[in-house]
Amino acid sequence: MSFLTSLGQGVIFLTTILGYFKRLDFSVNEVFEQIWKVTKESALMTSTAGFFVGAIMTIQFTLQLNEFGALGYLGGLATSGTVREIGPLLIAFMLSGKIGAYTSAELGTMRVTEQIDALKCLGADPIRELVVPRFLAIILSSFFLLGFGLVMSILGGVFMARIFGGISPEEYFRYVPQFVHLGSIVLSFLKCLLFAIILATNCSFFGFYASGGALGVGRAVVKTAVITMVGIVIADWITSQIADVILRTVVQS
Amino acid sequence: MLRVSHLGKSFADQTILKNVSFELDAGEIVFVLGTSGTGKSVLLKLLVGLLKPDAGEVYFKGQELTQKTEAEWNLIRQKIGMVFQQPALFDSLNVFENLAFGLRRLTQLDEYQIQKKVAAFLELVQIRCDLQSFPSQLSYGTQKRLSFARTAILEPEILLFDEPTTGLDPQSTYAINTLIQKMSKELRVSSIVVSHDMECAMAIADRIIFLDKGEVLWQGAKDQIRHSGKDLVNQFLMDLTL
Repeated sequence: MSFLTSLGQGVIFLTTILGYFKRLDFSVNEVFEQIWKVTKESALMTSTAGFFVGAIMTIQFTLQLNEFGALGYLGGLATSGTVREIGPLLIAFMLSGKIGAYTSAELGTMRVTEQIDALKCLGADPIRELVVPRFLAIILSSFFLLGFGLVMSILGGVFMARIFGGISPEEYFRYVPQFVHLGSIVLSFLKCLLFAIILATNCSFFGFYASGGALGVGRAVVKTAVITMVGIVIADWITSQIADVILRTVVQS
Repeated sequence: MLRVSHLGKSFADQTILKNVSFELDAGEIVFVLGTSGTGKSVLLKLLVGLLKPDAGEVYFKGQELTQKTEAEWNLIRQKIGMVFQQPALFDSLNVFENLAFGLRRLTQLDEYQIQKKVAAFLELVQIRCDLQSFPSQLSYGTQKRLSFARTAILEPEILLFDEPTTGLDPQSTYAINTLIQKMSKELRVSSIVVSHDMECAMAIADRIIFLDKGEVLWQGAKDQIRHSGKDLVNQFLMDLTL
């Protein structure tokens, strides 16, 4: 299957899913069940990774800012970098590795063991029953996890600033409002939404259309991981460029 | 009851089925035999609307099926049920929920009636297990029989079986064959059984269709098969006598 064919099929698949949202044709209970599952499965991993990423960012900034005697800006810079860039990217990569692979494997296994065909034969719509709740759950959960991950990475930054740079929490947060605006937070959540759509589409598409037994499921999982990560990085670059243009326009006006 | 006329299906450049025609009467058991990759499973998926044919028609009680919408197929699938090659039980649902799944979606039965029906069909397939157990806790043979019960519980008029006895021990094979015969004789359910198993075909089939390279090589009553004059059919018969 060529790249363009896959892309076209992916877009049609996404449009089909969006049609279910438009008609509100999905089970709310199933969506909540999936949200709980995704959030519960990923919260500890996201918060742990978030804490250490915040800590690493602080170490890197401390070393460089110290050379210029600008350690006071540490909290602002580290928090800004986390909120605008690292946070959404980290959550998306974490979800891609865990929930994306899991969903793709789960749907793929259901496909190759004929459970999806059996669903159809028993009067159920597999996209409505299986795909839509998982798709929505990944998107909504990624917001909770982003919020949670950002708080943890900021805590990691504060903790490491204290240990590594001897900076108190008050000093750390002093210049944060100058670096982190409402726009930064909105951008962060918009990126998160976009990354979650890329992830949810890829994992459900490749899983749902897996073929060729266990090998096919393995291929679906690998495709999900690779294409999602590449897609997320490209989408990050595009959104960062657009955000930069918007920011310059706002500043100039 | 079911008439298949000049059915054809291709995937990309590969022709899977070509010009396949046959009929199925009420209560009849038809075996579709042939070597692997000759389009037997695809034929069943075309008959139950999981795939769309490129050519030909399928008539069920005079009603043409190939142009039906998915919503219309949901009604037809109450009358034409399919038992898959793999048990295809839903991993996340227990035994009871698996059997009740189709009843909840396709019938108006209340919970009490569903419970009674599930118990009756478990009895029919001779399974005595904890209704709360999950498919992964059951043996393969039990899963296959549950899969049979899940389809049969909707009381379809036609049952399609894709390799129903593959991977089963002789005792489970006998049980499945007996069930197919029982459904045919007692409930007048027609069956199309896709299989490699010539022994089963000779034991329970009324008619046999031989597919080769996607085309009907031979079809006729079971007792005429020894006079088919086709090499491939004779090879299958030789395996039987060995």
